[in-house]
Amino acid sequence: MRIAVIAILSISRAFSAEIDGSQIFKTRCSIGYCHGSEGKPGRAPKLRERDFTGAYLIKVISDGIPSSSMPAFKELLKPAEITAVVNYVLSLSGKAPVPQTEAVEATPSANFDKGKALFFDAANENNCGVCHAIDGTGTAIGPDLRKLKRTRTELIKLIEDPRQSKLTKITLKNGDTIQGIPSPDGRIWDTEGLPPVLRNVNKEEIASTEMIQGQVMPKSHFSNDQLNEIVSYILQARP
Amino acid sequence: MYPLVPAYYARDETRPESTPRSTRHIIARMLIRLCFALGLVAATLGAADVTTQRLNNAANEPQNWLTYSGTYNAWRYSPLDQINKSNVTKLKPAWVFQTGKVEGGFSATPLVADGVMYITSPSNRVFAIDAVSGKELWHYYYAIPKEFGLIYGPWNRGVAIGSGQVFMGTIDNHVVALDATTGKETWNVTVESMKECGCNITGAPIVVNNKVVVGVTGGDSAHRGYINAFDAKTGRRAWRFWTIPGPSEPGNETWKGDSWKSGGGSTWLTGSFDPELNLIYWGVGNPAADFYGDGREGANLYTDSIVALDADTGKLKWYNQLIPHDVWDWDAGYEIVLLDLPVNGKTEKLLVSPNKGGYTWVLDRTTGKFVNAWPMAKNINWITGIDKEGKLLGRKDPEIGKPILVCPSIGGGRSWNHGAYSPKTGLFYTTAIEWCQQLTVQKEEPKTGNTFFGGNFELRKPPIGKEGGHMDARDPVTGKIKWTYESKYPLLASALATAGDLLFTGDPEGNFLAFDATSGKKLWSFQTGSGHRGSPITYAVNGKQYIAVPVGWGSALAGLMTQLWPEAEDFPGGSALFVFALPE
Repeated sequence: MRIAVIAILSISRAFSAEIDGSQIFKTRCSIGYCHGSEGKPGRAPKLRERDFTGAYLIKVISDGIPSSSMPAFKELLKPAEITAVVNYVLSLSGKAPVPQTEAVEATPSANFDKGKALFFDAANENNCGVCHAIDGTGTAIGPDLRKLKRTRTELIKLIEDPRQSKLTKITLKNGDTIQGIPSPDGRIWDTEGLPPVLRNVNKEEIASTEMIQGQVMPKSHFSNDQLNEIVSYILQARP
Repeated sequence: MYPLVPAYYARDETRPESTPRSTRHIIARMLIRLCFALGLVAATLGAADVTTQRLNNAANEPQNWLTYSGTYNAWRYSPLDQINKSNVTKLKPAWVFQTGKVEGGFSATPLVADGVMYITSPSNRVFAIDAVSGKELWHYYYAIPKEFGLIYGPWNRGVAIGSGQVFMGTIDNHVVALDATTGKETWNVTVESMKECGCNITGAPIVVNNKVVVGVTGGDSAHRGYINAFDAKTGRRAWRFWTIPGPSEPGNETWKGDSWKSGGGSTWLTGSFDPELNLIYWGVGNPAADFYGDGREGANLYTDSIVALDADTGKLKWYNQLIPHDVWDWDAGYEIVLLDLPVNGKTEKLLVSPNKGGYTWVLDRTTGKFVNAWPMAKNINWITGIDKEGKLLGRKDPEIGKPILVCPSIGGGRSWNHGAYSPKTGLFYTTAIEWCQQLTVQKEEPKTGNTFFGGNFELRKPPIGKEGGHMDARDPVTGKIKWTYESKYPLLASALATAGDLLFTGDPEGNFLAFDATSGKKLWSFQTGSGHRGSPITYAVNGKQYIAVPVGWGSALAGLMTQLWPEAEDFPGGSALFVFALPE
């Protein structure tokens, strides 16, 4: 992303000058428990009378600060909007702006956004993201859908009529059972209910282990349109 | 020191057993008695033996602090009185424990079970500590995701214990269970993908009837809130209560269009439990967007409500919405103190809950019916009062694009830091803050999982009196003040009341304070080197009483208050647990 931003900067021109960085700052930065208005201190650091460079701000705003509350805005703002915010923040310390950027954006299909929303639909307790991760979102228990070499029709069929999965069934000495999918770290994803639970089972507690077939993937309740949208998201999310 | 045999064999003879004893149990018991006799086990059994019955009767174990607020009724009161107003001036530090994680402030409530203390630091570190010596028994460091980027956290308010395990909600919306004896993770469940929901867990869970009940943040995000209960043994979800009803459920009509999907309603703190009624009480946070309400016309149930849930099923028994259609980012999330007190001469089962908007509500906890509401702060201007039915009077709703002075500020007429109730004095001790803000509402469309405030604000001095904080001792039903302690800065630490007629709390300048609970006279203070944002507790081991307090400045409000008190920007952070005792 950084390289991309630099590349974009190198072909920059006086473009999209109409984007008002102060307005974006108001709705994205000086909100709630984050930065104060006009760069005054809030919970997050003050942003006025600082010695920032444009390149530093572009990087921090684009990529966020790892393991902190500062998000990566490259996922939320267009490059030209990030530049506009950078220039607003620079202006708070009386610094000259960096050149505006020309936005180079992929335009995903309309179905992509709808499919993504369904994939992670919070109102659906058994949404796809409960067991499948895409681009780091969701829980990676089921197959990585980006790597499945399936056509649109095949994917729709797999969602409509899910196959059974190979499961490990553990019977404990106290009579309890756990069935699910072994995790690479030696634990087991208990899939008897959703969301799956990553459990650590002491070897001494195990009476027996067997392989069984079981239904983990829930039956589809999606309409045809929704199935198409979800599959559009999966197909376009492929790396 | 670790026990030499599995700690779950080491039961107290006086407690009932649910399973018949096997020969193995009897041998193990003999062994453990021998170990005790030889002094090999010390007091390191800890949470391994904490049962539902013990949690339900935690008040009978004043030597321990078994749940978030000491007992399910959220009193933050201890019957211990070895440390009392006649000797509190002699308190000295016994030991100090450093967590090593400073960022975000040390907001936890420590738990103590049978000589073992459990604490969480910012960034989800958990420590089990010998409560006498301060020596670490084990630690668990949660793997923090690199792509965090959430406005909630990295602070954490504590763990819950039960069924031989220690439970914690995490910075990325997981719940983890740890073996209480070893600290090893026993299960780990993703509540919902943090990246997608823009939510996580900073509040402490409670264990009720072998279920881990836990809330969620996300009230300032486009998110739909919930309370979840997980089976303590397996981690499997037992129930979920959505704080915003879905289509076809009663209450969904109080949301315009699809606004229910992103309407907030977080449950970011910890609820209370009445074992007799088998009801869990939980406060639901503000609707999202916080300030822009046109997109969600209607009362917006069950935001800003107190809900009573069946502890076994999570089903709604009753609700009382304190603030319909909130447009100020108030909240009903604070502690819910369960009290049986006379109202008009008749003893009633009540609950008392301070609210971010500056009032404390008193409800009948059997039915949810309104009893009273009284103001904590002097500077409240978003309403002119509350009538006898609980209806808000003289609402002052902000308009889009027109800056307006709102008192209190978003930080609240009080912050989340909890009050305490002493049955000995009959007083409820709670802080309040005098401050305001200039609020400007702006139209905003929700984007799932993203922040969703719908406006911004800047702190302002209050029109009445001087900006600052106070600790007040009040009648919990009428709010009548018995005494007040004024503070230059907002008091952002919880209170602890004890039968020693003492009230403890800390201030942002690092002072840990003890007051005469009856008169309010300041009796003792100790400079701990960093501001207080956590919750003190007391416990006893081998007949000796200790006072423990997390010390470490930080959190959202610690940053926000620099707009009125610029010097607070230089207040040092910290993350140390101080434990005090009387000299031998």
